[in-house]
Amino acid sequence: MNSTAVTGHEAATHESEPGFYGTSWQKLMMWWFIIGDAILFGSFLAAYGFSRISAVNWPDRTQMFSLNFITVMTFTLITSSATMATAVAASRRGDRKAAFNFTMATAVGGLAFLGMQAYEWYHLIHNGARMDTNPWGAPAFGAYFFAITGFHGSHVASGVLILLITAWNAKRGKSGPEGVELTGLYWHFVDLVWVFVFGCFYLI
Amino acid sequence: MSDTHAAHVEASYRSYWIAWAILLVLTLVMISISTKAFLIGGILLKSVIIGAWFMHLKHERAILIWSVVAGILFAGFLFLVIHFDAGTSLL
Amino acid sequence: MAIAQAVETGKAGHQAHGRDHGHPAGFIRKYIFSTDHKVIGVQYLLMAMLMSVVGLGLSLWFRVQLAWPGKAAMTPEQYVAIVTMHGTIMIFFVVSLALSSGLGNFSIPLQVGARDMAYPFLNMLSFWIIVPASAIMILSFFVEGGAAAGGWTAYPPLSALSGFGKVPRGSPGSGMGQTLWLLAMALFIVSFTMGGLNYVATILNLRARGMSLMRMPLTVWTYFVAALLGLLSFPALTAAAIMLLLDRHLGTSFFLPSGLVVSGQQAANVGGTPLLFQHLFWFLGHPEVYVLVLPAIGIAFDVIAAFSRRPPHGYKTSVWALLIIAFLGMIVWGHHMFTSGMNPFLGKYFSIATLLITAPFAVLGVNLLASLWRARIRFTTSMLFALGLISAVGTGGIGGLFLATATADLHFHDTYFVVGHFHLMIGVVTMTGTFAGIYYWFPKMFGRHMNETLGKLHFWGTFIGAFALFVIQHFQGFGGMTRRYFEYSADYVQPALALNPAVTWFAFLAVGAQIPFFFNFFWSMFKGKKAEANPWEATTLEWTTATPVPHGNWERLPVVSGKPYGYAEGANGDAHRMQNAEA
Repeated sequence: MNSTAVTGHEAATHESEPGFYGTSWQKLMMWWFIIGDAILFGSFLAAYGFSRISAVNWPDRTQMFSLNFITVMTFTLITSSATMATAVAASRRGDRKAAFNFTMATAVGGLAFLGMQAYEWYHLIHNGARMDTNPWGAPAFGAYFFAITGFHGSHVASGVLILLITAWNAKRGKSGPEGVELTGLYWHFVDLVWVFVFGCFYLI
Repeated sequence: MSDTHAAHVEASYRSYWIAWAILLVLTLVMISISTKAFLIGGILLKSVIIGAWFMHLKHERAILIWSVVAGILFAGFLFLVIHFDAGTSLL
Repeated sequence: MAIAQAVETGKAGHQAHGRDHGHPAGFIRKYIFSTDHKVIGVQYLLMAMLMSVVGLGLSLWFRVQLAWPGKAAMTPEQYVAIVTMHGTIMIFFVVSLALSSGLGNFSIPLQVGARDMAYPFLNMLSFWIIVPASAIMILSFFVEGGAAAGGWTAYPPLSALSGFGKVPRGSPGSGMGQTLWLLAMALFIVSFTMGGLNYVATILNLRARGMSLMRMPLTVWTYFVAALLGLLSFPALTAAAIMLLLDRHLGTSFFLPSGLVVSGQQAANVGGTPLLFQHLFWFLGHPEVYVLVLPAIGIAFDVIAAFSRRPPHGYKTSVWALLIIAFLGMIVWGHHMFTSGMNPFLGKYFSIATLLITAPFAVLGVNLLASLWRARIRFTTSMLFALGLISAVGTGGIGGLFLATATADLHFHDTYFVVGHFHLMIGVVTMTGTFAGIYYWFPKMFGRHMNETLGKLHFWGTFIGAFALFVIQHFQGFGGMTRRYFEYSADYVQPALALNPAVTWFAFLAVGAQIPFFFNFFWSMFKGKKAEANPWEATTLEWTTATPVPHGNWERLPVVSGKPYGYAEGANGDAHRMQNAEA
């Protein structure tokens, strides 16, 4: 009886059945976290759109940025998303080595993206852009640009950290397909946000 | 691990890299156009591809898909409402 | 029969509990850094009680100033800071903690038949993030300039004018106090989000076998809906808070307009607007009201069912009403902004959408009332509070009709009519729900009953005091008395001001009535009458396990075989069927 009670509790976190959503509770939590975070970025971008419509003298982005450079940044992030998806599939197949390699490749992609973003920021700051000033036009653009790309960058940075931990755990067999998949979901979400940031700040 | 499972995994490998190629092409198309409607369409198309293939939403239950869509719709609604105020703000 | 069964399992549970050596038995792991949802629930309750002493104390302090100007030692700046902190502490650190986090943590796993929350460690973390958040909130009183004074809504420009760098200083409280306020709120949001994720995951994935969604007790349904609302709406406040911090410390102009002049000094800001903050804030702010109110109503359903010995009227309609309220609740935030300079077209939309919420809310209210129809009611303290809740939902709701109408709101906005209305809803409704829940689950929490005599004293004091206080405030609002004023000089407001001493006396009554509650709570914890496993003869799952509830809640997880409310209708009113009774 004692043993049943104990094992009963030990199993507390493992008794989950795929519920209403047909997923484990871990994945369910990750998804709802992502939905919340999507609304967070959605609020930022809504505010950005609000100011964009209100402000006079919105800067001409082709003067501020090199679009080719930004496109390379976008390629890097999309490619890292593809390697992450491959890592998840490899982990699901039980191929630990491939899972490790592809997760590491994703982390390298993330770091490359961060490096390029740092260069981008350096370039803008060097030319006189600040949180409250923008030599190319409306200061609000500078504020939103640094706030939102900075916030996205912090997501990338934390994502890289999570990727490294996942890769390490996947190699030792501590992190199964589920763990890699959760990390993957987060990483794809970061990529997804960049699609919006890229579109809103550089193109539209 | 059955054969069908292995085949499924191989198929998913291929689908990821096809999705990757589509995303790259879309990005290239988007930087060369300037029509707002097309740009917004491009953003939405790209996010659907990332969601459906990379995040496996294609294989999830409808309720999960709708939860995600609902979240995005609420954020979209926020923008829809406040953009009416954009012109009236005290600038 | 069912009771006998429950008592039997109860005994078995005691024995198992006694021999239960497999768990960390140390005091620290068991009661302080515990991952057990029951302990965490009680920790939240105690934290909320601690914060309520501060929050209620502040309210009495400024009530004295209002009733007898000059008698309470404070400056106008301090008055605004005290009002701000009263609002913030009561909403986020008392009601949210006690009702959403405290009772939610305790009841959800027990009611759905789970051993614990989905992610117990995260659950512990969310409590321990609240501790520094509360500490920072309290400490902000003692920094230079005093606590935040921008109102609980922290509207810019006042809240953005920090006095740091190029930014001019708005008021003493706009300095460090406001920064700490934002920091504490950020921690609160992190904790609340983690809690919400846990609730959703637990309710969707850890339900006992046989517990379909439509067999969940209404308490669980309301916590579920509230958790979803929280997850969907809090991010907007997070975004607003980050932007406000940037405005305060890095000189951005998200919320600060061009041409702002502060104490004769021209601010350098260009191109922002406070309206944007208001939209983002109320995108959270309105759903937050339902995050707080709905669980209280859910608890009332459970309590009323147990003490009127009838299943709640219209279970399915209540569930659908909840879902509709949740949806509408997300898209009506603008009714807080009718006078803000918002586009009038939006005012029309928000007015209509808000009035639509009346329909599902009326369904809930009618279902609560109809549950009492021809019932043989057992007037326990818990039941009294649940009945009080029905009354407050009705009265508060009627005030809401006035405020939802844009044209009427032009007159009522920022008067005591609003103060009275929202205190009835997120003050009285939530607190009566919380107390109903505490008196109801106390035997399950501590294995002892709370004293009924003291409980009834507590109820009548709270109810009469709070009800009179807030209803009178509606009339003061009609009389033109505006909120957040330190002193009034206009002639037209004098008749309304004459009611102030009465309001303050009722405030003293309502707050004083909490003294027997505090005493009762701690005294009963150790000296109360011993409780059986199912003292109320209720039928939901938490009453099927032993008291005190063992670690892991059940030896064998219950298997649900029927509806949550198996109370017999008709002649044999005391018969009831536990939710896990064999068919």
